[in-house]
Amino acid sequence: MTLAPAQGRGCSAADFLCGAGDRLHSWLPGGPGDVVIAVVKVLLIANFALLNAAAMVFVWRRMMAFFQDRLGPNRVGVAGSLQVVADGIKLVLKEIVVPTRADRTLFLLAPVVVVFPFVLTYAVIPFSPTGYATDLSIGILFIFALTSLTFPGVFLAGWASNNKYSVIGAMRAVAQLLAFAVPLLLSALGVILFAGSLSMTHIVQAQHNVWFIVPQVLGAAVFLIAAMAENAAHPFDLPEAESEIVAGYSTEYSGIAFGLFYLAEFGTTFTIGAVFTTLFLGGWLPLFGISAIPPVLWFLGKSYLVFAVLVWARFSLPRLRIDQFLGFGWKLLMPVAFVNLFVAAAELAIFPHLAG
Amino acid sequence: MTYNYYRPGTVARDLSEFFDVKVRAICDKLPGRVEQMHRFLTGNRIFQQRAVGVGVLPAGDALALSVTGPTLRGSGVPYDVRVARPYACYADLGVQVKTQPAGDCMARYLVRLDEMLESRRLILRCLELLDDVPPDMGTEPKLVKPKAGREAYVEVEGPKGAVGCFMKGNGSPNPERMKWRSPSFINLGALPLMARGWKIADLISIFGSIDINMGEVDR
Amino acid sequence: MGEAGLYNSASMSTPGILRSMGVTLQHLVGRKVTVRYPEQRPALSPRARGQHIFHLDLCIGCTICERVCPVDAIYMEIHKDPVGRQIEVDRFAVDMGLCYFCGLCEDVCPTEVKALHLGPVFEMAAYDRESLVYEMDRLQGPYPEEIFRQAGWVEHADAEVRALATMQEKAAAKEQARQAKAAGAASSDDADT
Repeated sequence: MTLAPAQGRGCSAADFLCGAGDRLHSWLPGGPGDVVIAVVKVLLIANFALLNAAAMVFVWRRMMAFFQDRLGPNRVGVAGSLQVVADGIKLVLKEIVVPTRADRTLFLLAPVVVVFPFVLTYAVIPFSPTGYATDLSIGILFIFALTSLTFPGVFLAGWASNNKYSVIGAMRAVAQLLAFAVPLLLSALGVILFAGSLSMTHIVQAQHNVWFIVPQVLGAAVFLIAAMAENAAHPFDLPEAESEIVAGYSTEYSGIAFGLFYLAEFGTTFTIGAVFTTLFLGGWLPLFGISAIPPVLWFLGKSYLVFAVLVWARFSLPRLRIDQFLGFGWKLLMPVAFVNLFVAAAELAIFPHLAG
Repeated sequence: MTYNYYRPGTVARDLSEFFDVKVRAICDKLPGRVEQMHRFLTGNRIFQQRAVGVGVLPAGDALALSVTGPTLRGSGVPYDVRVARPYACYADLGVQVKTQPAGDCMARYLVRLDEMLESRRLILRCLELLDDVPPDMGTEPKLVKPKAGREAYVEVEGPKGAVGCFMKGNGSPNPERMKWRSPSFINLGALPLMARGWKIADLISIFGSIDINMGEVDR
Repeated sequence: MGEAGLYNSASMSTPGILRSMGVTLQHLVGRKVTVRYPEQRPALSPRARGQHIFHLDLCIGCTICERVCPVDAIYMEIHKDPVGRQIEVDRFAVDMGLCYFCGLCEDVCPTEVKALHLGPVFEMAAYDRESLVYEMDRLQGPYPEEIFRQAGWVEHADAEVRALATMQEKAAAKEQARQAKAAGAASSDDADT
């Protein structure tokens, strides 16, 4: 029994992950081999999710500084790379102050509820032809279900803080996440039409002719904007608007509880990059067929590029007011997403070979 | 060059050696920066949604509330102390008063950017005039003892609005009464009128557009 | 008003958003303004008001600086030499913890070459408050002329040279007058040199 991908067993020369998997399996053939490989994959991916989020915090701060004509963290470690480690240690050592009349259990549970789905999302993202924890046949639905799990987490945080402004921030956040979940799904529907499957690996393989961003430019734009709103990123970050309600739903949090919110937010920005890459940029498929570069590097490169674009947008645009961008979400983005769906259907009817 | 530079009747010391060069360097960079600001914010749809039409201060209300400075000029009233009651050499400089008619946050923001360019023009004009000024630095009086009962009120145009100082003497070197007119404090009085009917998020925009210096408010 | 008119109409255009992002991108690759202290130092003007520099040989002991200081941060002790009838400065100290570097002490110093002036040294951090009282030995530093010359302010440096020459002339003239008076007062007395 092997962990063959849907297409059959061949590993391309440059795909070192696949090659490593093969070698590991040749040492431990059969059932135990599968279990070991599965465990290794889960460990690798889960750790990647969290460590990458921490590394992205550093990259984010550096990029933000460069946009603002300054240098950013550059003292701790080589070129400031250990800054996040130092910050993490500091956060862990800080006391988590629980307000007196706050609901203690819910207060401490909220960060976990927010971080847990974020890590779980990485289970279905295909990093390379064999580099995924599991290939659910409803992969993309799973991801959207998980992103919807942040609503209760965020509202829990705001409500359990026993703080009027936190509740305001939490309610804004829920309204925002709800409003933009619909266009997010609709834009992904166009891609699903093309791929003919909900499975993430199938979607990637369906793009071997042309990446879906080409026929689905509108869908890609809608997806990106809706995903930024889901992530509570600028210009949609009113739930945590610093200058207005301190930190919104996470005002009362300190120490590692706050650190978890922070981590989840930065990590989700990368997740958006990863999911966008899978849906629209061809996942681990190489550009111009340059197969000398391992697929996992293609995937990571594209994801980081999207991440960089998101950070760039974040630091260039002022913040929208809550009613303005809820109006934008319901009145502009959703109709555009529907239009995109019709366009996708029309394209499929005219050019059936685009479908995977 | 800070507020510590002024002395009664003169200035603390003569201009530094490379003053001309340094000032011209800054003046060269300024139009590009203001242009960049316009490209970055003024044409940005999101910024326009947050600033256009938000926190309108009608001209009549502004005058009734003694608002001065860019907040007043953003409502279309062309009042500038440098033109109304010129002091120092402003009469020779020909200050152009910049106004915007709308009275919203965007108008106040645009007035400030326009005034940056106007200040730059005035600075360059002053540099020209400096060549004609004799090198006499003036003298600083050691002691001032106005007669009892003498009062004086002087206003200048500060960045927030009209800054005024009132003094009353009683024959000794110390004033009997001194009062500062702080523009931030007075402009803040217009905030309830401007903010009525807007959301919390807009309160931030409006408050920022008045450009308050809280230290001056608490003076 | 001309430039403002162009941006007066609220043109609700999405290209505006992309232009904003373009501005940010320019800054991404532009020059950074951070000064990497302490490896790099900020370039201060020679007239920047930092740590005081006191020249005992120039000070005439008038104590105006002590009296004008708004926070009484200067401590001076003087005595009048009975023999030569000159004022000697026994102690000159500045409490850097109180001082807020207004420069009034520097402004009122009456000597042509200022006996007390503020140099551009600002690194005076200490771990305890007592060590912030700088006595005469810690207030040593270059003469104003040298500070100006190092910064490239040639005119100001030359002005300082002229001021020093004036001071020396005056001192010499005063010395001559005193000697003449002492000689005129007949009898033994010596001119102190």
